[in-house]
Parts: sequence; C-alpha cells; structure tokens
Amino acid sequence: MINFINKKIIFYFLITLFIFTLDRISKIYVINIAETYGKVDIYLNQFINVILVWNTGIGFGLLSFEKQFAYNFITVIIALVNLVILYFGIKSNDFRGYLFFIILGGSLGNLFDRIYYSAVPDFIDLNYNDFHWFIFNVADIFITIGIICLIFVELLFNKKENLNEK
Amino acid sequence: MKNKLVYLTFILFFLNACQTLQDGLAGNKNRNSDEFLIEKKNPLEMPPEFGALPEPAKKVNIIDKTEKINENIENLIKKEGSTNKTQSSDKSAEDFVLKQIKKN
Repeated sequence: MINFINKKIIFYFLITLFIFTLDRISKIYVINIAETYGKVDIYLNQFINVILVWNTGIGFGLLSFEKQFAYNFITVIIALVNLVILYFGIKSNDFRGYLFFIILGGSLGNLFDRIYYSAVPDFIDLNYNDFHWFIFNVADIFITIGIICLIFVELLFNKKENLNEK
Repeated sequence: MKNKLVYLTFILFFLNACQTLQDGLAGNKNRNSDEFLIEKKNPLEMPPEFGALPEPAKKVNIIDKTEKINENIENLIKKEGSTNKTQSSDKSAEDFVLKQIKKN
C-alpha cells in the first residue's frame, strides 16, 4: 500500500516536473530571442504569432498593478492557492489527482516567473481575422486544460451522484 | 457543486497569466509616462539688468597671425637676398685678387 502511494506521488511529481520544465524551456527560448534581437515578433502562420509581452497581474490581464505591495500580495495568494492544489492533489484518490498536478505544474511555472522576473512572459498570440485571443504561455495551456477537465469531471460526477440518489 | 465550480473558476483566474495584446503592448508606454512630468521651460526673456552690461568693444586693429607670419617670411627672403649679394661680391673680390696674383 505504501509502495503504491509512493509510486503515485512520484508519478504526480514527474508530471509536475515535466510541465514545469517544458514551460521553462519555452520561456527561456523566447526570452533569449528577445535579448538577442531586442524584441520578439515572429509570424508563424495566419493564426499563431509569437509576441513577447510581460504580465504583472493575473489571468486575462486582471489585477495588473504598478505598486510593489499589491504585486507581492497577489504573489502570496497565488502561492497559497498552489499549496491548496497540492493538498487536494495528494488527497484525491481518483484520476482527479493527475489533473490537480497538471494544474500545479503550470502554476509553479508562472509563480517562478513572478518571483524571478517580477512578471510572467506571455508569447503565444492566437488570432483570426484581426481578433486576438489573450496572449498566453505554455503553463497557461496546462492550467486551463486541467481546470476545464476538472469542471467537466465535477459536472459528470454530480450527474451520476444525482442518478444514484434517485 | 456550485461552490466547487466557483473555486475552480477562481483558480483559473488566479493561476493563469494571460493578458490582452493591447495591454501587453501598451504596458511599456504606461510605465514610461514621464513625458507628462517634464517641467516646462520658461519663454526666452531679456536679462534683468541688460542696460547695465558693458557694450561689446569696438573694432580693434588686430593683426592676424597669418599676416605676422607672412611678414616674417618676407623679412627672411629679404635677408637671404642680401646675403646672396654679399656672397657674390665676395666672389668677385676673390677673383680680382686671384687675377692680380696671376699677373704678378
């Protein structure tokens, strides 16, 4: 039993590490281009561009303050949220644990940038007919996938539970 | 279940770090908004005691350095001319003496 738990935790840890590393490699690559050429504005195709922008706030450009205190306060909240996710990830016995650790991998990537660069680099620009979606990074992809999957799981489980109760 | 969905949405907002292209590109401009804090320069004015200031000096005959150099060169040429003359006179005197010796 203990072996199983250990294996599970090691696997969770590897998932988190893989996502964190993937995110770091992508960000370091883009930042190196920015340092070499002064800016990053790469046209990949008509739907995806690579443009480096720095986000000091949270998702969707919210809570982007100039003041250091507000920035540090938000960073502390994000760190606490990470701890809560870690707790729920370890606690969960089904595949939701994997989803929590996928979210944690991305979240740690962004938290690292908030502490190291004092801002999070975003560089993937999806657009269609001059309509630009929010610029995001690799960590955001995994966070969003994890949370959307969790929402679907909650909705499905809730339906099943309701049916069982009836 | 509603609570869980609210928590998940909260997590989605807090852990994501995406932002709009407009905000991202305008961010630098916002940070560099010091152009509105630059002090305006006062318009040009006459000095307060402009009348009391001394007038600029009138034309003074200043001999240029080039003129001086030219004069020096001319003097040197003149001197050289005079020395050449003396040399030629010296030569003629020598010739005269030599002729006299040969005659004797």
